[in-house]
Amino acid sequence: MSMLPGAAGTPDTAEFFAGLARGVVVVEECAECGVRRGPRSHRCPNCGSARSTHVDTDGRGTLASWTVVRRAPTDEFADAVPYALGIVDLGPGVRFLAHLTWLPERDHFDTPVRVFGEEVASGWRLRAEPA
Amino acid sequence: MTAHRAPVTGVFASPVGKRPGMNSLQLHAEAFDGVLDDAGISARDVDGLVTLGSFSQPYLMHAVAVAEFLGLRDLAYANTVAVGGASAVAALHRVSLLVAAGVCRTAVVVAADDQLSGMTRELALRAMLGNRHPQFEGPYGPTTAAAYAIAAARYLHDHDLDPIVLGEATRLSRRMAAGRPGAMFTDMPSLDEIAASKEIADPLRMLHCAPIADGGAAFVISNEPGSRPPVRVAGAGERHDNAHLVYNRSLTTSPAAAAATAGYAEAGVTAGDVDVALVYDAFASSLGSTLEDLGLAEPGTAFHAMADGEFDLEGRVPVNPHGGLLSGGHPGYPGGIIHVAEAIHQARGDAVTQVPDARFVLVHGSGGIMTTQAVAILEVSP
Repeated sequence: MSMLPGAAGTPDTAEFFAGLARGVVVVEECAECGVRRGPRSHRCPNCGSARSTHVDTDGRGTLASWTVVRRAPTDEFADAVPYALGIVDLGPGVRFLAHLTWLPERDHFDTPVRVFGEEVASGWRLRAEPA
Repeated sequence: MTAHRAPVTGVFASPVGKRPGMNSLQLHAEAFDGVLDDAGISARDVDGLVTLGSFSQPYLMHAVAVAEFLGLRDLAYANTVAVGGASAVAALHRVSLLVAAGVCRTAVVVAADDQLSGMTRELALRAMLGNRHPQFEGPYGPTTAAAYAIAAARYLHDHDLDPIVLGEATRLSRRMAAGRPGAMFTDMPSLDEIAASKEIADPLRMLHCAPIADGGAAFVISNEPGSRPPVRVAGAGERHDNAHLVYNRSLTTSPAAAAATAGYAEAGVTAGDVDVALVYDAFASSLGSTLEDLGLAEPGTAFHAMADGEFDLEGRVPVNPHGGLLSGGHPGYPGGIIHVAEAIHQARGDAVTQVPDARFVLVHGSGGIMTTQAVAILEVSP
């Protein structure tokens, strides 16, 4: 199992991390305007409604951008460099940061990817692979 | 009827760079002493203190802790502004309003830190990792540079630009810094040398990133006349969207546009009226896209405009005549106040490298991943 850090979730993000354990990526959908969002927010940034539902997705989206980290931020990442971190869009406004399974080439913008959870010692890491 | 904003009546910028033997509180004191001297006031005149925080001495009640070290009591106002790199310009905006409203009479905004000498590289980077979302970003090890790199990569892609153009921002900054004694970097690397500097996070290289430094600055806002010509805050605005990259609406444009629109409207000017601009430049990439957000360049053209000299001292609108953070050094929390200090000097006409006949001076600050934004327009009082 990877020794890289993970996140276990908190009461406000419990549905998301429970979803990763079920093999799905949970996003939030506004019950009034229908606009979806990724990481948790109490109200809809689009219409201000506090009513929302959690929706299971298969994690399929597109690679909006990425970087290859060449210099580790702290000692715990020293053995991991170089590693690629990407912003994956699962639809308009639904955006996650994921540790990519490959180092992309320059023509990989907007290519299809799939986000999934990888269990590590301290919780879950979001990974993304070509789809 | 009094003006709805009080003017800036004093400014002081301490030397930025490597300042061993001076901790954050001492650097605050140095900037505070300097600004009292510049404004021609005494410590007893100060009844408002605003700070921006510190990585190396992060007091919970930071402004009050700094006040007690400075020996200030009976403050009518004390506050620490916490909108990242936008904080100094936000403080300028807010304090000019609250002094005019009578919350306090004479306020000092002071920021300083010893991020270079007071912290190891590991500690400094770990402190900055605290700016990443603890669940959705932190576990993946994105440095601040990596988050900016992700935005920069998309910007370059959307505008069909080769990453080598990012070096134009570094070179602009170095040309300006060449005239400024004490700047951390005054050498002039070629575009190829910049593109071959140490890899950080693609497409950003070492020479696209502002170097960590020690230093600080302070300014005074007061309705009481001092010994210097007062500088009017002609207009200002802020826009804050989010703190973390995963909440960004856009990777390529920022709320700086809306903040600038508010500032221009209040000042009764347009981007075309700006005579000199102080633009937050923690990274070469963000300087380019921000110039576009501010209306000082068309989308996708800022780096070409830098190459053409449009932002040089003799250019269309000089940008960061002090060299900015890219060459002058970036002390962390106080980074933005150095731009404000230079803007005040430019408006007063007493900057070290003065832009001739500068009337409207724009100053900009940016925090988060370009998601907290503040803009102000300064003008020497007629």
